[in-house]
Amino acid sequence: MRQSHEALLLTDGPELTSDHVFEELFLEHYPRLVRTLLRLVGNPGQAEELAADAFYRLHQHRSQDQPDENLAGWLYRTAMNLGLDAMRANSRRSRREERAQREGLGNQTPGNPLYELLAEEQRERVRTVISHLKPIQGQVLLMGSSGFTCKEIAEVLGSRPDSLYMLISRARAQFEKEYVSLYGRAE
Amino acid sequence: MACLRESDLQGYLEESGATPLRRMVESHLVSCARCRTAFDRVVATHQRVNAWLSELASPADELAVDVRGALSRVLGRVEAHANADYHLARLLAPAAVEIPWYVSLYCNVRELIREDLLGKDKLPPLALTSKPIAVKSIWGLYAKNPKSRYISVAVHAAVFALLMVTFTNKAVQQKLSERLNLIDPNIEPYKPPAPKQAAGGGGGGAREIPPVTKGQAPKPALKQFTPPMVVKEPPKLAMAPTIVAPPDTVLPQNSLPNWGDPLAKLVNGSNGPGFGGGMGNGSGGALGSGRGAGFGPGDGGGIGGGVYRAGGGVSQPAVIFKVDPEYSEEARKAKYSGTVMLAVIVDAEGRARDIHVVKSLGMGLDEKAIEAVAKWKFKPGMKGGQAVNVRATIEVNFRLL
Repeated sequence: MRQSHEALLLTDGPELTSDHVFEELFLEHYPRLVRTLLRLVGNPGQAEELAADAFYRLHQHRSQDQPDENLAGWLYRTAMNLGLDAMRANSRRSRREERAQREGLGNQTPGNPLYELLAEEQRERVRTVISHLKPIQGQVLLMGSSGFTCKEIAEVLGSRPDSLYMLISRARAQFEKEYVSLYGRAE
Repeated sequence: MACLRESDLQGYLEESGATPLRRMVESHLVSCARCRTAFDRVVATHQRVNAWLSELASPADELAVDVRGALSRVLGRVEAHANADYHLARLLAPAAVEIPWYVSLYCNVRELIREDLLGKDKLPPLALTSKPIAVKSIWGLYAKNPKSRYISVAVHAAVFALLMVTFTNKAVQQKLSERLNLIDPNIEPYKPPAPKQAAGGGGGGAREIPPVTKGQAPKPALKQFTPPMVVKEPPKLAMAPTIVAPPDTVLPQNSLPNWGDPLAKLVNGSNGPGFGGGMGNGSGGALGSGRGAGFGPGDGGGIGGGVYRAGGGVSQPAVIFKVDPEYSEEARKAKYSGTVMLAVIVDAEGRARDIHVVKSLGMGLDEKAIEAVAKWKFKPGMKGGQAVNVRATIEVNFRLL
């Protein structure tokens, strides 16, 4: 009987040195990790690059025989840090120019340019607020908005449900506080 | 019943369906107004944050992700890194091979003590197992080319014959036997003249019988206002006595409180048998046995035994007005000509005095030359911007046209 990946992550961590297990972990988490990073950096190519880099670091991390019982947690935490670093490194203008160029070339749903501009500005605001939060708070908010269930988030973080609920509640409160302090309540 | 925790309220919003947590929250909210207020606040925050986070959704979320391609790229990168590590590991020695320096030092010292000093664990002498192998002599190469030997003998014989012929030749032997006289040249006449030192002298006295007293010499100065004398009555306007000499002149000194000749033997309070003021045996208003305002046996100013000489900071006097000498009648009749050389002292006023004939012509021309030079006017020699007496030599030519 095939064992689920989450169970592998929690119980058989030290045996994850084989390429087979790494491959299964990659196939399971790579698409979801890309979508999570896409919400953070806003660039599909960069999100895939960051996700691949996170998996590469995971492989190096495992090859050093370092005991770690929660590989998925290590993977998402590393990916979140990489995304935050990339978001801080990229200037807002360069990202906007790339987005405009990309939409001009391959956007399948042409809409009102003003609406698109305002929507992109709002996305930049949300990403800026996330970058002001603690990495763990930004991680749970992004994973929640990307379709992860609370159970999945708890397994990835290796925490109990009540602790996760407390973490989510404080992350949301801190997000609102940062947003209001940066852009005002009227927004 | 205790109020709900913040995590319970958040869990109610996160979970779905009829979970025990949701049932417990619902039953509590019915009876607790305070928790209802808190719940309303949590719900409002939940909704606002959800609205903001939903802005991050974009059409790109639905784009297909090439998972297999990404996996192959990551595994390729891992493999490339592993190869690089493998090559690097082959290049570098493992860390276990490295021995710390103190361990190596300790082992070497321990081995030295045990083997050389204590004789323990000493290895037996090394037994040579190799055997010598006979090789062909390199001198045997000549056997292959005997012409080289003949050429070498011929060259040596030719050189020997050339040397014998050369040194047995009579001309060569005569040339070698010649004595070469080395001459030590006298270059004294060609040496540049040494810079002349300033010279001069002075003297004085008060016609007293005892010799001049011993005392401290006055300071040298270019101009004299007061000569040195034994002070018998304190003057109303005291002024330090000086002698005429360059200010940098070093005079013999002592620590006596009175003025006097530092070279005298006794302190007797006498100005000396000289005259003209000052102290000593000479004349003039200074110190010593000479004449003038200097110090020492000479005359003029300065120190020592003579007047200044040109050089050493003393400029040469120059003629600014001259009178041609007359021919004596006797020399004119004899059509006699020549040069009279005179030694003079050009004083500070530019006049020639103490004229002496150094090279005489005779026939009355010496007197005529002295007579003419005595009328000449000179620009005096200068010492430190002051005109001083300078000894000079003058040539007076007598020629008949």
